Amino acid sequence: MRETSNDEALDLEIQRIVTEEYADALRSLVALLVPLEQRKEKIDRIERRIKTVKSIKDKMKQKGIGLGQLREQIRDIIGIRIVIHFLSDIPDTLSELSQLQPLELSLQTAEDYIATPKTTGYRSLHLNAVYKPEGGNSPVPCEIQIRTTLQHAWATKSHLLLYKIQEVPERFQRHFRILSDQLHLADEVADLLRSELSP
Amino acid sequence: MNTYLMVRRDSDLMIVKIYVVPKELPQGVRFSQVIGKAFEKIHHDYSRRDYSLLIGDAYSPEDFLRSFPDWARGATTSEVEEWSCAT
Repeated sequence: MRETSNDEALDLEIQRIVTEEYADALRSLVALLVPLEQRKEKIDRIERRIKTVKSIKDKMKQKGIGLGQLREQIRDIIGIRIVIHFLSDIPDTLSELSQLQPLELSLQTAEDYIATPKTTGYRSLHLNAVYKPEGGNSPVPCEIQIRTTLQHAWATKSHLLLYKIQEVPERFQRHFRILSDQLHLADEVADLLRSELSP
Repeated sequence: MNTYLMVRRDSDLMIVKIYVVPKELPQGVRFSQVIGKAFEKIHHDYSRRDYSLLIGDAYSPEDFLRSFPDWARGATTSEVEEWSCAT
């Protein structure tokens, strides 16, 4: 009984933090990213989400941290996903993002799962960033994922096919990696075609 | 692009309710106030233990679920209601 009420108290505190410290930042980020989002020749879509209270709580347990370390240790409470058409547009997208004040990108801590895909076949570029709201409010960390439409398609298909399966047999894991490699090749061919066709 | 508040049943990851937050909030109302109120009101009807509130932006609820497939298995409701931002 005590554990349940402690658990509920933790839920409420996380909910308070999400509401008071992250919700307004999410809304501001929506406005900040509008000009980038309108670059339809490059950007397919940009989507944002706030991590659920349960997911934050699970991550705290997994990392063995308390509320005091939450802001420092969980950097993806706000998640932004930028889906681009062409692989070769990543440098430009990064450059445009780095010009969006008051968003500060941390390229040193980037996890490049495009250069080095996960063993599952997952490909995406993960960046840490900090949004510094005006008015002296505390900086808000967020995670930005950049991926191509084909990498996004792979991630979606894999999830839809695998979410019910506890342990994926090795031969299927291999097929998912092959599928990811084939889509990566298609991304590279598309880049090649674009460079050939561009005036 | 809209902001959606979705109520997810955690036992089967189904979305049971979808609200869209108006683009323009009433004057003087901040998004954090809307979300604070939403948590309170939604968890009054849907227990905190069994349901989660998903908050995010997308062109449509379907788009949102397509983009974040790990969040839900699909909407059980296509009914999207506007969230009343009056505090």
